[in-house]
Amino acid sequence: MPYIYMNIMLAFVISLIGTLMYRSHLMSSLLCLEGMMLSLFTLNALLSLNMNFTLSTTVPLILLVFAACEAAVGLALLIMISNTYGLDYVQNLNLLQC
Amino acid sequence: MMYIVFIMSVLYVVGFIGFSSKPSPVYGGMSLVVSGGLGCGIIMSSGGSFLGLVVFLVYLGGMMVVFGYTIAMATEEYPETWGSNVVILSAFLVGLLMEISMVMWLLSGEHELMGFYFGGLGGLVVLGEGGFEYVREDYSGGASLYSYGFWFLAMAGWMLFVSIFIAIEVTRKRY
Repeated sequence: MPYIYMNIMLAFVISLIGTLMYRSHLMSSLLCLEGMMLSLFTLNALLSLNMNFTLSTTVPLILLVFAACEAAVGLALLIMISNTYGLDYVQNLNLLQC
Repeated sequence: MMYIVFIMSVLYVVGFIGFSSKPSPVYGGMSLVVSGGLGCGIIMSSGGSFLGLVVFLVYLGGMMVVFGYTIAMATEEYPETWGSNVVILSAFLVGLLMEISMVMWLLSGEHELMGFYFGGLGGLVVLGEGGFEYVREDYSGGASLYSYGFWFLAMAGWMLFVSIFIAIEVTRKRY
């Protein structure tokens, strides 16, 4: 398997681990989600271009559209959290206690 | 010069480790922008100039700008960086160590695992731009979104429209 694909898949796994492990800010997890989308875009584009699948160069564009929608909804939620609590600290989200 | 794409992909992974070790989001956003630029370079080295431009314009110029001013709105007084907190620094160093050990393992020769051959020279020798010289592949992929992929276009447009309504509804205060 070529080196470059392994590096990009490793980058996806690194941002997946970063998404799942919270520290203080919720915004950092949203940034790691965007990193996952960027690595998927890069991998899709490289595979479509290197294997000369001309028609599937549409797939990275569609992926980017869906990533933009997801980022918009995530940021809207973050804005509401920031309006209610002042900052986007994860420790403020403690209404559900079970 | 032959290995420039490999070095770019290693720096891409280092940028990912940089924001995945969770410093303050200001520095995380900067690291994501650097990784986006390097990803654009990797895509362009395989002949995808349109998709590299899409990364810069749409992803960095659109989405990262929105993330940038949202971060500026919800940030703290003393943002913590990679050198100010030992947790972030150690996470960064562990990731860096893993990447360097993977690179050295790859460069040490060819390995085989269940039929997959790692570490050969297959990925680095750039085959010439053979065959499709009169058809620009990535431009025709973007153009086929309007002809063959019309249903993709319709669904993507509908999803963008609905997500505007979702954002408006979420940010409306309900008491």
